[in-house]
Amino acid sequence: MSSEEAMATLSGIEGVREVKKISERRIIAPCSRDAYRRVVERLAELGFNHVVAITGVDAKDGIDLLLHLGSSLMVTVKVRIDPSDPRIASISDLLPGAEMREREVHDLLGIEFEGHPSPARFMVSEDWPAGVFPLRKSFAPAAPEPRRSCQQ
Amino acid sequence: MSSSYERIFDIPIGPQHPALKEPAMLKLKVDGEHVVGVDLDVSYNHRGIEKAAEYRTYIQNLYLIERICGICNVAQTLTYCLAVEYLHGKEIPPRARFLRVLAEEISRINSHLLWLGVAAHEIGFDTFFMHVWLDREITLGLMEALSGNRITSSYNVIGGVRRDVTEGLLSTIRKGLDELEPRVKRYREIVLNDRSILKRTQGVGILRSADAVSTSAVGPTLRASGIKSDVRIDDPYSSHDQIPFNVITADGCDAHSRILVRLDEIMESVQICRHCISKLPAGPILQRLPRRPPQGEAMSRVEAPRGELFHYISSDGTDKPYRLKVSTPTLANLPALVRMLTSKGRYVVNIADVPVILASIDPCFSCAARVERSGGA
Repeated sequence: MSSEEAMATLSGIEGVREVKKISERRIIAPCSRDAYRRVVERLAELGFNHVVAITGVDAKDGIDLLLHLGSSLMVTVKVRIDPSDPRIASISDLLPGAEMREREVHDLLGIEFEGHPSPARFMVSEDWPAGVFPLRKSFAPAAPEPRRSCQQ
Repeated sequence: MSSSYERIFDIPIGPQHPALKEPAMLKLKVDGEHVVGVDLDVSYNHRGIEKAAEYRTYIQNLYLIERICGICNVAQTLTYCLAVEYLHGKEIPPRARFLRVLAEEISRINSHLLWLGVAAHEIGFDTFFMHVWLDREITLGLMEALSGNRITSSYNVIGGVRRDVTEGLLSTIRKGLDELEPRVKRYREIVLNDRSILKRTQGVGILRSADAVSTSAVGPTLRASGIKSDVRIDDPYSSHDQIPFNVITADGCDAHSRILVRLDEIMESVQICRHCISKLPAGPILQRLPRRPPQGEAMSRVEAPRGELFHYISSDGTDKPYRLKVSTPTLANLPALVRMLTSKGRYVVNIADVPVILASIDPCFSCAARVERSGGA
């Protein structure tokens, strides 16, 4: 499928706005949270069933969830999530390749994937405090102690 | 069975070195000798490289990214550089693109030979392991000649490569490849004919083509299930669209096919290196770029030795990335690994096969959890 065809099809799905082609084989399709699962279902039907990655970005006014799909042409579905209600439908049943990636995003950014088959902790260790999400911008790691103080 | 005893038992393997010298925990559910379920825990290695990258400049990050994985350091820095160069909207000189391919393919040969040794060790064939690792020294020598370092090469930089090659160096590399080629052919014969290798790997760790596609498997694991997919062809970067090569596949769908795919890929990489050396364009090796890329988003991917490697960078116009995401091939292959480790119908997984199956995807848990590993050097 050429990028023009993919863009035309994506623009036709309800809930998708301003599909953007950023380079030869990269398309970004922002969509609403409610439309997310429907968009992924449609893309999987079109043959975009290879999950490249799922990225979470703590943009200052919300969390962006980016799902990168496709082996030659790569479509990125972008969803803005409200950090006070960080929930989204899981797509692990549609695309099993997304299973561990959703668990990773959950551990590092605190997004709840509703309907995930095994939402156990995956990426951070068992003694990591609950409710602390390292990739949120509000989390600032402590600076390491200097090896030698200046007074010595 | 109508007994009051539990029929399914849990057996933990790991977290200390379940197969490779890396921490990962496999919680196996076994029914007698058969594995019927598996729960993976890779959390022992998370050190927050993605977070650390947000506190460092683009140039400092180059050296941080390189330390995600010792073996695929060339692929890691290449993916990162491609993303940063995309943000700048600049092409790099053709000579640098060819040199990047050369470094990438030498590191692929190195990684596959390292893996072959580890796989032989898992099978219990330690003599083979010693021979393979002796020949792996040739590639380490070539990498040292090319970049100055055996493992952590620091060869790719933003805008090109760090070091140029001379005629003398190219002939050294050519000689090294000539020395390596017959050795790899010999190993291929051994893998095809040795009874102990065949018995330990054939029919072990089956991943059917449909499962490989549905679990989004990548790299040699995917290609050994008969799927012709390679980022170098599907989404070409550097100069791969100008270099003729074959995508190696095998249709055995088992651990044995994964060995053969990697061995044949070494032969292809040797040919790619030779092509790069003979067709190396003249010109500069570096395009200088400003320290601050413009605002924007970049996504790049590279066929690392273990499979598809992906980087996402979001830039806010400062000298530090706003967000850097790294997605490594091991994480992509974990759902496929779970399929391979689960008995289903007539396909049974014995506990004794678990290390071979685990090793067959060439896992790098430090990559998956993103932290430095020693690189086996």
